Amino acid sequence: MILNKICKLLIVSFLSIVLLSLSGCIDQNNNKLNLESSKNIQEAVTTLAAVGWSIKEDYNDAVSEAVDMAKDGLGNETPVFAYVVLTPRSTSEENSNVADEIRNQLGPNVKMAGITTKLGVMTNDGIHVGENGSIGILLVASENITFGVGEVNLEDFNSSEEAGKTAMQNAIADAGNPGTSPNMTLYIGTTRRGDDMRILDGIAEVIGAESPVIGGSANDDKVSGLWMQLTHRKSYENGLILVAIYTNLKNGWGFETGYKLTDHSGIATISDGYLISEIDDQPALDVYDEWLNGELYEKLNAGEFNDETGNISFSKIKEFTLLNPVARVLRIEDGRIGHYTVSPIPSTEDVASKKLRVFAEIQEGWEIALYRGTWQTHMNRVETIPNDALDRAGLNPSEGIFAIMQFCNGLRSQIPSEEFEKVPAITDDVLGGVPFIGAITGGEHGPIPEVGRNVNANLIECMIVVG
Amino acid sequence: MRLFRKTLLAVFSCFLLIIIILSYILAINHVNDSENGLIEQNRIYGRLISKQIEIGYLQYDWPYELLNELSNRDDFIFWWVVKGDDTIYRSDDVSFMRTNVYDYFPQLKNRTDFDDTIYSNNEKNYEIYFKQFHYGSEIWTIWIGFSLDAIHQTSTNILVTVSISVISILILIFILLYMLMKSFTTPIVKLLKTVSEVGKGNFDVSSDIKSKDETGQLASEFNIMVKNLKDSRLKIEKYSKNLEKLLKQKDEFISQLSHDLKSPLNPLINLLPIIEKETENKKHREILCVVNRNVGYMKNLVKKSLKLAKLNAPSTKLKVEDVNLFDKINMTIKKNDNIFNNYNIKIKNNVSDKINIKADSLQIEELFDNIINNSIKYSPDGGTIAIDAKFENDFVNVSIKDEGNGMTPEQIVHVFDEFYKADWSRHDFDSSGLGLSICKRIVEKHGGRIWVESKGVGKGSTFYFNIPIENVSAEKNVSQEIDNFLYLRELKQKDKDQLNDI
Repeated sequence: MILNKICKLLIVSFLSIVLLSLSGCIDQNNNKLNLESSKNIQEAVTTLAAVGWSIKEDYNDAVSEAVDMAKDGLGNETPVFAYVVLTPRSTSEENSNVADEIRNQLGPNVKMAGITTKLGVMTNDGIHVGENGSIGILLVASENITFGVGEVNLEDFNSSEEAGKTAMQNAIADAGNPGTSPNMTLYIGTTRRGDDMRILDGIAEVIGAESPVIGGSANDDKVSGLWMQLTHRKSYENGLILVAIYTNLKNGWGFETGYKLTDHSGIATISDGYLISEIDDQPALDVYDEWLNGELYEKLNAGEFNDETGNISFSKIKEFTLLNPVARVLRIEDGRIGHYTVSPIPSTEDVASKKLRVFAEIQEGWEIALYRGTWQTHMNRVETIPNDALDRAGLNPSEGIFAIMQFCNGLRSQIPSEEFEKVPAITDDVLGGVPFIGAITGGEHGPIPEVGRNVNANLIECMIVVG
Repeated sequence: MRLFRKTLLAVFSCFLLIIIILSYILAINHVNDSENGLIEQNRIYGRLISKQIEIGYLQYDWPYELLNELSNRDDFIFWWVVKGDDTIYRSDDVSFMRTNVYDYFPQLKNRTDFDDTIYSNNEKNYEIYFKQFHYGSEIWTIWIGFSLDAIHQTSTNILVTVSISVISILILIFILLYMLMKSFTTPIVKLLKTVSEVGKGNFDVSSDIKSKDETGQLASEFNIMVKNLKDSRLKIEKYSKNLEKLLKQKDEFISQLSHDLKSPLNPLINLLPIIEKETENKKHREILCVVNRNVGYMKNLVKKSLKLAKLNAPSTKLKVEDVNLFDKINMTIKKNDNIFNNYNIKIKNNVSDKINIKADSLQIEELFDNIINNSIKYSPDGGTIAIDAKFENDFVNVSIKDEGNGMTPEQIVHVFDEFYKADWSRHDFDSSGLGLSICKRIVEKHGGRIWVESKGVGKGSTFYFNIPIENVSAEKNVSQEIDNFLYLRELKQKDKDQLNDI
């Protein structure tokens, strides 16, 4: 036993030295390579992960260009896993064709998980927004990382817990490590309102509540249902894809919001999960307005959120409420406390009935509070989240192999576009050139370590890094 | 008026120039102050931002609000946060991030001082402020690029605005002054024109000025004056006509009378010497001699009266020609040579032979004859008569000085009056009392003046007269008419007296 441990230790140490050396190459070449294509980056890195992207109008050309770029980046290394981020095309059929083309280009031996994004694909080079869409592919070739892709169609399950449980079991089985919890699980969900917390509960039944599950929900530009989740096997509109990541390499995650908790809090006394009727036995919207010192009703009465028809405009009201979202406060018996963000965006009907609509689950009896933030605080999180991920992994900048990022669309909409363009550059700087790919998602998932569980939240940026 | 306008224009131009120069100086000062202010503002931004980045380093808390505020400034060009390895870590523009700062400013590669310093690019009108700060263990630098164009543009705008405003205001003032001046000068110009017309003898004009100020009052008074002048002129014309008629009657009367007197005198003059000669009675001969002398006196009186009447007649014209004064005087002297010898009187013609005048030769001869005869008459035996002449302005002044009885002041006043005799106790049959009056008329007919000076009785007299070198123009003006009127009026009175005397 001791000998085995020593052998394992030696192997890990050796691999670490190799990886550190490679990371050193990245670091040394980082400055002059950052503005060049990912292809060049990967030539310097020699192999383990590479990102390719394309904004070509024809999806076949786009897929080819992105895959070729990523493969070129890997050099002689054979990819074992692909993480795809793409903007949806105009129809489900087109989406399906794009997915098939990706599978075709990657070949049968590459496991794949993919997610649709709003706006464009983020990589080290920037945000790629094409007139007819964009596609980005992260290829990973490391033998020290095992990926297990599990998927379910949520529509096939009556129970969200069961769906989550099944998807997780499928992922673990796909990884070939039954009975062992992965180091991290990548979550690809759907923006359609679902019982994401129940799904997470189901996942927790398999891998434990504290095993980090990080990811986001697929999105599209108009939140019109064209979003898609895809694997090397199949594409889904309302699917759940979990990627179990097993590795003996350093790995970490970041999951954080840019808001600060205020002293205003209460208990959701009546709620159906996504529509809070009462907080502390008072009409929920009245309480929320009280927390905002009457500013909500003042603006509502002034018609500041109205559209041309006199109804409340979703985009107008969210500009205000997303700067003042609700926090779900989690307390456990030993006194530990955690919290995460939930978007409150009331509609015309909600205002009439004084209810508070939220975009992550708030059940009756859950404690909620008021968050406050600005676009500046969100931009500061752009730097802290990759740093958190590196810190948790114990990696220095440039030592990672790859990183995957999800950035909430609600957050993005609050940041001026010229500032948001800096997000990939800042992320790249913090990661020290580690290849990364990011999607703009409609709901995020991640761990709250203070309370030892994963949650479904909004207005979050999250990231995993392996290195 | 033109001078006033020119002066006003010059003052206006100088004022305009001074204002523009002052504005330019103010604008330059403004630019310098603004530049310094702008640099200081960016320096403050740089210090604050770098300090906040330093403080927020551990929390990754970037001073977005300050950076945003900086980016929204009008003078802003860029801000860069440059890492120790010279790569741009943060920038207002994402395209600069992760690039080398010296790709854009190679000229600063050898610069060593980046802490709280300024780089000025005068050619391109921008400046960069540098401030170093600690980011963890590294020394980073914030670069803030800002433009001075806005300030220069503002100063140009200020200069242009001030210039336009000043020019506009001055033009407005100039127009107002011009209008004000015109309101003053227009009535005066109108009045001047009217005065000029009146001066030309046109009394049918009036000054149409309705203002109630002093100019209006002056114009009103002037109009009244013109009206009075017009009335006076009409009266004068009326008087003149009457006078002319009277003069004509007088001339006709004197002419007729002289002729009528002269006609019966001729047989007397011719016959009386014969009768006197044939009369043997001494008593009778003496009586006839007295009669004969009185007839001669009467003939002389009639002759002179006719002469004076002829001179007084406006219709009598002078026959103007070149007259040499020296020759003319000599001729007179020669004519009276016997008399000079009889009375042993010396006469000196001191006149230059180069003095010529335009005059009626016969009249000038008559003039000298009368004055010299008068001087001879009152000169003592062995006395001297001196004649001199000299140019004075446009006249020739002639003086005839004798050593005779001289005159009292009262005699001087009346000596040229018709039929005036200085000594009535002397029954002088040779003197008609008209000789000097004729002289006066001759001189006046030539446009000159005659007068006499004496230091008193027994101290001799000097007769002076002057004659224009060129003949006086026949053109008459108002003053001449008035003079003529006054003269005619005086003449009329004299004629009345003369007629009464006759």
